[in-house]
Amino acid sequence: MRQDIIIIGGGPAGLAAALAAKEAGAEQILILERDRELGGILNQCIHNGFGLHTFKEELTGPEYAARYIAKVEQEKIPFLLETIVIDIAKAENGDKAVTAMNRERGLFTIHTKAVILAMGCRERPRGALNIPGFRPAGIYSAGTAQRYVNIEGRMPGKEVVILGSGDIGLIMARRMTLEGAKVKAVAELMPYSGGLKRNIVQCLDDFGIPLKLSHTVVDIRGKKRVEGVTLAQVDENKKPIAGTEEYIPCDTLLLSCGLLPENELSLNLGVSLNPATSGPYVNESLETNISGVFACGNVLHVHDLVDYVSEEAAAAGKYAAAYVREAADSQTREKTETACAGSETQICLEAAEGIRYTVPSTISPSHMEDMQLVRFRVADVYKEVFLKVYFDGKPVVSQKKRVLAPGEMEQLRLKKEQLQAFPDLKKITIRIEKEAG
Amino acid sequence: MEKREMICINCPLGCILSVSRNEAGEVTVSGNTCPRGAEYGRTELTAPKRVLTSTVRIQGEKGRVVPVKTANPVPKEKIGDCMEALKGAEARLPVQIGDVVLENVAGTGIAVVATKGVEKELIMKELCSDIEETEQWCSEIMEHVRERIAQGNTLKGTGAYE
Repeated sequence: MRQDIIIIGGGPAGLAAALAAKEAGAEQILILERDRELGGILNQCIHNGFGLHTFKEELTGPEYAARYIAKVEQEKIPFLLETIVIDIAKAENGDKAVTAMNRERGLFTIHTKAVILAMGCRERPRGALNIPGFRPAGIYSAGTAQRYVNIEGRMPGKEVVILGSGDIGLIMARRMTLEGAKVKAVAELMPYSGGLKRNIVQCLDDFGIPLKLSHTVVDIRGKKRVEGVTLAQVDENKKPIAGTEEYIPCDTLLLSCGLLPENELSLNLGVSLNPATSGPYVNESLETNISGVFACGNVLHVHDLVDYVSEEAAAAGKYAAAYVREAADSQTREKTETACAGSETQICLEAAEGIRYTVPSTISPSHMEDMQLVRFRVADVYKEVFLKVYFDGKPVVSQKKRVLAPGEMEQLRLKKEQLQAFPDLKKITIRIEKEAG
Repeated sequence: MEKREMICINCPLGCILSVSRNEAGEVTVSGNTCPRGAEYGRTELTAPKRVLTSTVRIQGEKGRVVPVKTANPVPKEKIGDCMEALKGAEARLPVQIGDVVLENVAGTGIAVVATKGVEKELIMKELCSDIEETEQWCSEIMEHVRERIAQGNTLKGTGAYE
């Protein structure tokens, strides 16, 4: 059967997108999820702190997921579990052909008017980190360890060193400690943590776990099982400093070294990706360069809070529903191929000094709503700086910021009337400056 | 006069709080952006508390756990005792979100509640899909699962798509 919208992934992004699409009037919606239950990574994030923005209360991951799953069931939005999508291709009349498989149906293809990419991300593995040493048992990504402890009920080790201070690493430092393991250190290559401040306090400080900034693992010892790791301090070029090596005996090394949006399907379809995020370039409607293909959540860019994922995904769901409604009009729209291609109908957003990227990359004033949310991350830790926005070189916004850190996503609201005041606007530049002027 | 800088852990904003207590014992909090922050600063200075999240075993379901949390924050120094108490606790299927798994954990007067619903069938199916776990009793359960699948209850998504 032909669908209106197929949503790839039943995690927080997919669930929120499905609900918003339904609310916006889309009829035939189908969620495809590869795991055996909906909820995605929230199912293993049993710690609390989710949902303060969305529900005004503090929930654990499974509780947050359950609220959305209950709504999806209430709205009778169909979903298939243990179903993996292996290809998305362009089909006739602007349709997309989604090829998936599961044990019951084997390989099957479903045609759909619109696709919402909500595949999330995966962790950066050891192979991408260039750590010398043997390849013994006892090296896990932090998320794998989290799954073992919180879902499978098994402990991956007793004496632990964690490389990387992303949120999952910090959360696992506490979790392993609570379950009786000794977490000896968290080493972070950068001079600042990539995780949320609250997690440093409640996951490390509460338990006296040392955070070693500007440190990395330079050797892993042990042939069958990890026996210990050598940490060393790094210089400003992130090269280990000779003489600072410190050997720490341990049986487990957890890696929490960043997340990579999972965009293999997008690439096969011809979606252009932004190297800064490894996620698609999108316009104000969260639509990629392929008509009718939308992206949201961690597959678009890695978020810090699930609340923002839900908010963004709901927008994608709404825009996808509008696309289905007005398919003829939408297909003729100019697409966002790159961050800043010269164009008559689109304004491009430039991430200048101190800004790593912006989502979206372009805005069409004809399609934007009264208020456009622009999300971005900064490239370094900044204190007492100004966030500046220029319209074709003219200063428009200047916001004082006490602290900006790469670990936390920032956002900026642009009003439609601000843009309308500049009729021939081509480029919006966002940058960090030290001076107010 | 006692003064401390701390980072609020109530939400991911991580506001930097300045908390001080004067001679009369009055606590003042600044730097917070919401009332929860003021409350956090006050209790963190006087009697720090945390919501504890963990997992407990499921009775009769080898190697399976259900996530839980304390229904309210517990004193920070009691966290070790609470974890010890949870080691011996078991949840019974089916579990619904909010079900009390353990009353008055470690004498805190606070209950531990489930944070996820778990159904019996799904657990059995998961267990039996793991080849290493295929024992005699497991194949009996598989028989039961097959019957359910034959009856159209596939547990693999909603039928509405058909």
